[in-house]
Amino acid sequence: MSADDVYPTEMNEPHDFDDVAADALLSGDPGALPQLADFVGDVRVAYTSTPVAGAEIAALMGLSPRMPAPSFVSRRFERMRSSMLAKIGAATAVVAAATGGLAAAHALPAPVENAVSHLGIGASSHANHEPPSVENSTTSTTVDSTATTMPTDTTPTTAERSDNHGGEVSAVAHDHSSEGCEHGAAVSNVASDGRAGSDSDEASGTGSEDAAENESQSGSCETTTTLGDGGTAATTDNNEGDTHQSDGNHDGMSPTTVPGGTTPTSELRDGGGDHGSSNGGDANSSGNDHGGTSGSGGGD
Amino acid sequence: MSKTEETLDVAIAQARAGDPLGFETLFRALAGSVAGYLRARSVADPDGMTNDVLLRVFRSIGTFEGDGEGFRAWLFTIARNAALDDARRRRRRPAEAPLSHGQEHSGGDAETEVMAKLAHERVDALLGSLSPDQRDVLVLRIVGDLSIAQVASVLGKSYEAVRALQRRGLASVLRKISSQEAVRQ
Repeated sequence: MSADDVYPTEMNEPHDFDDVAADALLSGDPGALPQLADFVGDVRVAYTSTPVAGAEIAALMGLSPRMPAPSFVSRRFERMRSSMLAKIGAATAVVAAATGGLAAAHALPAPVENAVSHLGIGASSHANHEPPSVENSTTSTTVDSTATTMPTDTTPTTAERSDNHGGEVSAVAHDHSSEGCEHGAAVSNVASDGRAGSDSDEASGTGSEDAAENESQSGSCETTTTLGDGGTAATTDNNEGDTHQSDGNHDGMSPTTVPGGTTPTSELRDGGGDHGSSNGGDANSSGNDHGGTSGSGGGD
Repeated sequence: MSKTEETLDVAIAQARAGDPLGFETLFRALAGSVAGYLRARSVADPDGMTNDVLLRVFRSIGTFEGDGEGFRAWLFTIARNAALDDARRRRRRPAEAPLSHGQEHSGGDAETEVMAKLAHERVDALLGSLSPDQRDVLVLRIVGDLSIAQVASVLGKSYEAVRALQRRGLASVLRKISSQEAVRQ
């Protein structure tokens, strides 16, 4: 027995408890010592209470641990994430199916089709990496600075025209060696590939007559385009032999009077699209070969 | 063997087999006693430490060999060692505000809460007047429902030493109570 086990003042005190009485007291029998019985009861009440099982113990006991409920934000995020995943999956499936179908129909450009065929989607007819044949292609686009190759059954827009027709027209328009009517006529002649004069002569209707009348009245090369309803120019397609209404102004503007001396707009672009921009005197002349394109884009 | 001991034996066998019902029975039968013992020893977080102790016991229950009596002694030995470790840690650390131990009486009426608090203070004062070994013996006997032999096993003392500690501890408490009553009169 160590010194800590016994307080100094206890050594000579009588012990009133035998083991039987102590066991009875600790088991709840008050016996002859109700004060100690109250003390034992107070100790049990004061200290004994079952704690809440933690998550790990609850898992061992097969109980669901008390986890915090997911917040509204996290629940909404879960819904958004599942919805987004579903949409992305559906979009991927659609793209894959469409790409595979186009690849099977050989409707994709060669590099794309080769890439698709490498992925195993669609037909593998281009697996030999041969470039597609232009003749067999119906909608192929060739990389050319000025021309778009159209299918053989359509009329090529760049037939019989130089590669830089707009540039030529622009050069003539910027050439101020001639002035006034002559300048406009020269520009018109270049723009219409030399058919301006004959077109104007052959053009029926009031256009040429009015032009001649205006020229005689004002002494200048001012020409007039007679417009129909909606700003359409009355022209005659000599090839077709009938008169029809063609839209002389694609962008909605209606150049009713085009002064011949100030024809060039000087904002020329490469390619045939500039053909109509240099419209000195050409607005009145319907192109025999061009059909409705002669007056197109008048001054855009 | 009492019915409680039989139930404990069955629960131990179930827990050793990994049956969740065995763990649940053991937790319900022993967690309150372990928590009470740790509260009496004024550990910082008695409920959390009770979970730690029981989790440690449950995880190593496969290595336990014995009956319900031995299991109780083993469990409280681990709880006592945890309390000693906690006391050592708290000695090394700056002083912390002690947590109020015992049951929380939230929701009860004010008189009951006041009486419970007074009972706590009284019990704390009486147990605080005892030597550590006397306090350990009485708490393990009262709160842990351990026998003298089990207490001797937990404390690493002989049966006779525990008997003497118990006797002297009870006598000391009785003297304190008697002196308090004499003061009131």
